[in-house]
Amino acid sequence: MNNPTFTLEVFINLIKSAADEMGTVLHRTAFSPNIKERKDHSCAVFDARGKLVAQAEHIPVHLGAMPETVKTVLDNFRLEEGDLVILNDPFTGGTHLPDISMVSPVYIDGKITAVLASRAHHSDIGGYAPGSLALVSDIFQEGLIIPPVRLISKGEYQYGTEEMITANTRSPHERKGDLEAQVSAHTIGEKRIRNIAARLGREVMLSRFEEIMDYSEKLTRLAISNMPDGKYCFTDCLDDDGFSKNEILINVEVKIEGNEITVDFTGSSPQVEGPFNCPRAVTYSAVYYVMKCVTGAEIPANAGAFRPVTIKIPASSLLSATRPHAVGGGNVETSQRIVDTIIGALARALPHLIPAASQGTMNNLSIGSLAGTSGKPWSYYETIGGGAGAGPNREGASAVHTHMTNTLNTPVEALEYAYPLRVNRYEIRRNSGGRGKHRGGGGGIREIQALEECHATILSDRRSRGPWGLEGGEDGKPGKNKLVRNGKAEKLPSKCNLKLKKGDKLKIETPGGGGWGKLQG
Amino acid sequence: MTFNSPGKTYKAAVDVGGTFTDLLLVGDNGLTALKVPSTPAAPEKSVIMALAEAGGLGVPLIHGSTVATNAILEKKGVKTAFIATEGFKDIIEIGRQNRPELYSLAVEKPDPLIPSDMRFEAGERIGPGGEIISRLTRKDARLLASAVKKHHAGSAAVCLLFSFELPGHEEILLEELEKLGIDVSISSRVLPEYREYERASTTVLNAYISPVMRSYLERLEKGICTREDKADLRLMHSAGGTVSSPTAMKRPVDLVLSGPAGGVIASEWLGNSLGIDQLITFDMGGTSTDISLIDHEVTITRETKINGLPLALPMIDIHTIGAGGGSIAYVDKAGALKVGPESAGADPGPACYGRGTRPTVTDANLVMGRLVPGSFLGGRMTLETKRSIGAFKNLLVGETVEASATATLEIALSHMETAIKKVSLERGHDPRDFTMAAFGGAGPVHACELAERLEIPRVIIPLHPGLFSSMGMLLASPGRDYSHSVIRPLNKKCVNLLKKLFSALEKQAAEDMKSEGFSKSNLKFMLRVEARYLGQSHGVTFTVVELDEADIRGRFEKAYEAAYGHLQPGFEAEIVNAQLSCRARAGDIPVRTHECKTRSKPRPVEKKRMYFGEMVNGSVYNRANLSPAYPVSGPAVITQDDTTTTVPPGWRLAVDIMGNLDLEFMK
Repeated sequence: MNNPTFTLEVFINLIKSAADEMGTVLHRTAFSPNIKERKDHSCAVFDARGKLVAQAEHIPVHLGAMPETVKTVLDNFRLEEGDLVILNDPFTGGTHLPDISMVSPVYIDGKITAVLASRAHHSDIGGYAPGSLALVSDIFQEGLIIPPVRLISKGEYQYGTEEMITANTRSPHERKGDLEAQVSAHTIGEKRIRNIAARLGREVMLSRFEEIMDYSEKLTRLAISNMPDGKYCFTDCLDDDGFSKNEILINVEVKIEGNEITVDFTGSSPQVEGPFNCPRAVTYSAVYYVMKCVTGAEIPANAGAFRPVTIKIPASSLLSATRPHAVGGGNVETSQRIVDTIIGALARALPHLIPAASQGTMNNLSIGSLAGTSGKPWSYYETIGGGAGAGPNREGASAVHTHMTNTLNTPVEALEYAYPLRVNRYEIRRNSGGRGKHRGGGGGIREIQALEECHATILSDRRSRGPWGLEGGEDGKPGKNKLVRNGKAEKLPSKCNLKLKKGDKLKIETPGGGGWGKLQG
Repeated sequence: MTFNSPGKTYKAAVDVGGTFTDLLLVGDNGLTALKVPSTPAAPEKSVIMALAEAGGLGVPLIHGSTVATNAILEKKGVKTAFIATEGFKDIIEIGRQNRPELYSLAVEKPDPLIPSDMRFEAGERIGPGGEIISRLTRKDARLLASAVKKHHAGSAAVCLLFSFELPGHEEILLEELEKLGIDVSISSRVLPEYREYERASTTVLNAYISPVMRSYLERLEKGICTREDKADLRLMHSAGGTVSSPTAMKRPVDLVLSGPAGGVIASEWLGNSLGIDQLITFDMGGTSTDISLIDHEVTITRETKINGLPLALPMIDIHTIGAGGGSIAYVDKAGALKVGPESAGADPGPACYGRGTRPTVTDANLVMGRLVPGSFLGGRMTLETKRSIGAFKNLLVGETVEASATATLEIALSHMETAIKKVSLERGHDPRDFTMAAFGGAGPVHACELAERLEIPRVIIPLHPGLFSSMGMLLASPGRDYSHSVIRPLNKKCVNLLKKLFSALEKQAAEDMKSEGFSKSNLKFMLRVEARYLGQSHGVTFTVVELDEADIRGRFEKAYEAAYGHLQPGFEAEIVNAQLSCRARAGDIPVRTHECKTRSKPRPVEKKRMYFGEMVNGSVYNRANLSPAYPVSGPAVITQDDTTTTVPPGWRLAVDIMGNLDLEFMK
């Protein structure tokens, strides 16, 4: 076969499809609802120094978090051919404990040439409550911490590693299946990278890695230089941390200067008792997400795209969590508010582009039992869509996932086959979007009934203040959590752990999106 | 296409495309073809016109139609009501709660086709075991039907939770709505499978286009019948079979891939006639390319989307990308060259057609000596190379026309390469095991180079690449597919349930086919099962022969391992769906041995410079002058009326006795 000249576009297609394929194998063979139905996972290709080359577009919350993971592994291991390192420690490259990451090298001609990384949200990793996303106050109650460790060494499974992990979860059998699905993703990824290298040669591939990054950097700088220079500040807050009633502030100053952006979080809250602290990697993800939205989604996501962006975070703060603080909700709740804060600041710089605040929460709901009437443990986890903020050109969409997540719902029929639960209602929360020239999207209502005794955790936000409107548009309605027991409804806090009796109903009403522009007439 | 008299005609196939309507007739004189301009405002007109001109009125007709697809894409269906279980009327708007664009601040969801004021709820609930949690009363059903009527619905879609476990409530609603003269589609008949959103979406699509399809087919039937012969009209459906016109009126959602399915069925036939089991079909036209994979059988998917709306019925897995001969090359903001998806279409068309000014893939081929200006469309149209050169001149600053043109070809090929990988590698198939069947106007131009990149060793180009889809319609078997969700762990009880379900599906299929005039003895049934490990969401589908627990488990494990490369020992298997495919014997079409006009060694029409990675000296041949006795080696270009075939260096071309071009990579 002759060796055709590879244009950059061709190479981008190839390398990205390697990452995509890893994701396809992972979600099709996984057992956790989070992975198989909701696609709460990510796969990416890095160069040998740990620079992101290509990432499959699965879920934004992992966008900036993967480079930290790979960096940690490269700093601490001399990766040999056939090695695979596993980890979930939020303070050494992880995000929150249920997200288990794997990192493996690709050797070509005896030299490390690329690094593959995958991350998947497993449905249980031990800790206080089923689902491992409970309202607790330190990392040890959140579940098993896995520091970077070899799961596979030179092609050999290291006896004890997988066993140690599965022994610490409520659903060891399922965990084993998921871990193996993740390993298969790496096997496929490695095969694809090898194929590309075989066609191009190692050296050409390495120089293409550089070119892709330079290409993204160039596009990003071009986009930034089209934005008006200036300093733009904004402050937003989370309702509370589930333990105290205090609002948790996030403060940002976005500075646009020529073709560079600095995002400075000075003035944001210190760490809190509840599980809403963010490892730095999660804060990075939120920033990168917004950057990708405002500079152009078509720019390939890689290390180059992020070179023009500087991020400043106060040490040991809400946005730069340290051991032993709890971080379960940092990923799934605080990350949303970081986004709201940055786009709030950018609204003044880019008024034609920035929409009002979206629901700003993922409405995390975990329900499970150690031994149900079936005698088997079960664990259900879901996030619930809400109102999208209205924009300069459109109304907000209803009951949809926005910003840092895009996971699918569990079909009612799939859910009821799998768990002793019944869904009584799943609809759009009419008139909950903020009014304005363009109306914010409606929130969603999901009512779930327990058919046997079980444990539930809710981690949600925007229960006291609704998502803000923009340019004179009204705020969306805040969300509501209710417990209906014996026909009587009781209001629940935004974050809580609770025991459900047989017949109890949980009714989650998610926030409406903010409105945009003054209501006319 | 030139039109010769077909003699006495027995059967006809017509494929209505955006630009042309292709008619193929089977008669005493073998196959004859007629191409007439399409009439998009009233698609039946071009069909009737073509048949009248060919003397084919009253002849049994198989039709590939885009009416269903266009009604959905252009949102030209009727005012439709949606009826759901109480508490769930919004599921068609919520969908799976995800947004299609991950990094867009302007969140846009697909339009559910039915606004909220046309959504209704029935006071009822069925549970996962088919148990009634809350019963629907006849009185409530009647009240609901009259409310729907009051809202002037022309059609209604009913989707109740777990209706496939117990269809009784949907059937009551069907009766009451039909009494009021409303067209009704119920989910337990359209798609009796679990996952309420996908089932509801499919049912809504069916209801939305039903009246449109009915009136189109009625107009067409009226136009094609004669005083002696009633219309005998069958429609090509997306799963590769045909259904009668009355069935198509009831299930129009089956017709969404009516056209492209023809090409895949023709490829399957081509493969059978040549003894090739594994084919990748490559159908490249002016604006788009359709790719599909045949691995001993046509690949079927249940995860199609149209305008963002799921259509979960079994359909041939055809991957369509917006890259064709007319795809436009341009430079993006950062100075990178891109190709497509914007297309020059038929108007203005590629620059070399004489009206457009922007460079396309076709222009790149012309500039690089891979098309012959004088023999395009049999010489009826002359391509203007100068215009192509002009179009590329201004594209890339500081680059030569040749560099821009070759980069354009390179990028177009990479799009197609990615697309082929999606249907092959990403699904566990190694392209090196496959042969490529290339057709459509632009397919043969790129086939060999594309094959070479994917290490596909052999390419077949059929006799009339431009009419291959219509050919598939003549070959397609009557009949359709049936399915039913099971969702039970694989054990003896489950196998008994499977037996019951399969026999019910078989009975239904036999009744349907009887009403279309086929007796049961002519029918062939194929049983398939979708299964997974208990706890997974995605199943693998495999054929079953006997309904026996051990046999099913064995076949499941084989299919799972083939798909993912490993098994999950210690995990229990779960049966997801029972699927039955029913087909009557396909009609014969006269395929004659290709008559070669010449037995002598073909002489090149001309010799010229052409691009295959670099500029080389190659020969130009007319396809009609090629002889089975004399293979041709690349570099070469083969011209014919409806396409051009390129033969890169290292490839050898032979003509087989049926007239196909059989190309092999020799290195």
